[in-house]
Amino acid sequence: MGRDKAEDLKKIYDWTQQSIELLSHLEHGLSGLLQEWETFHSPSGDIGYFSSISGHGSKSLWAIKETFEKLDSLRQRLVHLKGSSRRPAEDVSFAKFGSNSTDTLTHSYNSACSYKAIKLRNTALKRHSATPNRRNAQLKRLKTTPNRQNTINARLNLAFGFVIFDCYFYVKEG
Amino acid sequence: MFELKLHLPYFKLITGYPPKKAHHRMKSRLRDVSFLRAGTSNFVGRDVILQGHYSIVIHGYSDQIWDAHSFENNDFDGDDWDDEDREDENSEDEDLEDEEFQEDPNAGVEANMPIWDAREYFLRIFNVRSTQILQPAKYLVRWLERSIDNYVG
Repeated sequence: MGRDKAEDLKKIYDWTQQSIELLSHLEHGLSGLLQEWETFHSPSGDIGYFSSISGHGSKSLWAIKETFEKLDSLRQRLVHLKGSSRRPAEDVSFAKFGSNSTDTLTHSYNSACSYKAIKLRNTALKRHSATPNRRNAQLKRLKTTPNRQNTINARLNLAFGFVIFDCYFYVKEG
Repeated sequence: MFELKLHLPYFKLITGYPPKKAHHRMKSRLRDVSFLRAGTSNFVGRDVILQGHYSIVIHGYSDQIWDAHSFENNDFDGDDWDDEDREDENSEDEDLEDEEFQEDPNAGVEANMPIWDAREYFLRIFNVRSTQILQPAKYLVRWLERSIDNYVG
């Protein structure tokens, strides 16, 4: 695989990672605010202190409720956007997985982001494997056996779709 | 004795933010999102998201006897900081002498015709401030949708 291609793939990976992390951060902030509103607005919430309010106060309360409904709609749009942001990386991953080339996408991807990829790959495989211990043992063997590189690449390809999903949690650890 | 508290965090997109413009107080609250411009060009400056926060505490002895204290850390208006500070200092005395409309900066109402009821005042501010955070949130989400659609194609 050419250097330019590898750089393009790294850009896609970086863009996806940054986008997902940003959208998660915004969604998290908005969700926290909406959760506070739900607590305030619940039957046992502090809204009870305003039960006797009328006139302008009552109108304000109604308007606040509408505003938070709109904020919730924006939160849902952020969730939808996160799905859209994953698409470029997923498209690249699926396209390459169908190829017979041994000079694989994931080899370059792994070269560019080796530590992150391995860390995230393990997370993804742990989550999706029915026998996590055996799978991790296999991965450890593969990492220390260079002549099985092609097998590693195939596994990275499989993991790539999940890598994006885990980006936010990884960044938080850092 | 009662106490009413409101804390509203919010995000505000600032496009074309000049490089190295960030005031030292703001740096930790600015997030550079210029990477979302991928595929576009001819833009000056950076795109940043400012994380702001508004708080108000109302406390007192009854609905009619109370104090309110508000805080906001969004001090960005796109102008030069030092000039703005000087203007504020100079205009403060003039404002005090002005007997015309005096705005309550929290509720956006005439300060000389105050809302006496603490709970009504709280709800008024809650309404005004939540509406104020909705507008930049809408703008931000629309901008994100456009930017991501452009990249994803």
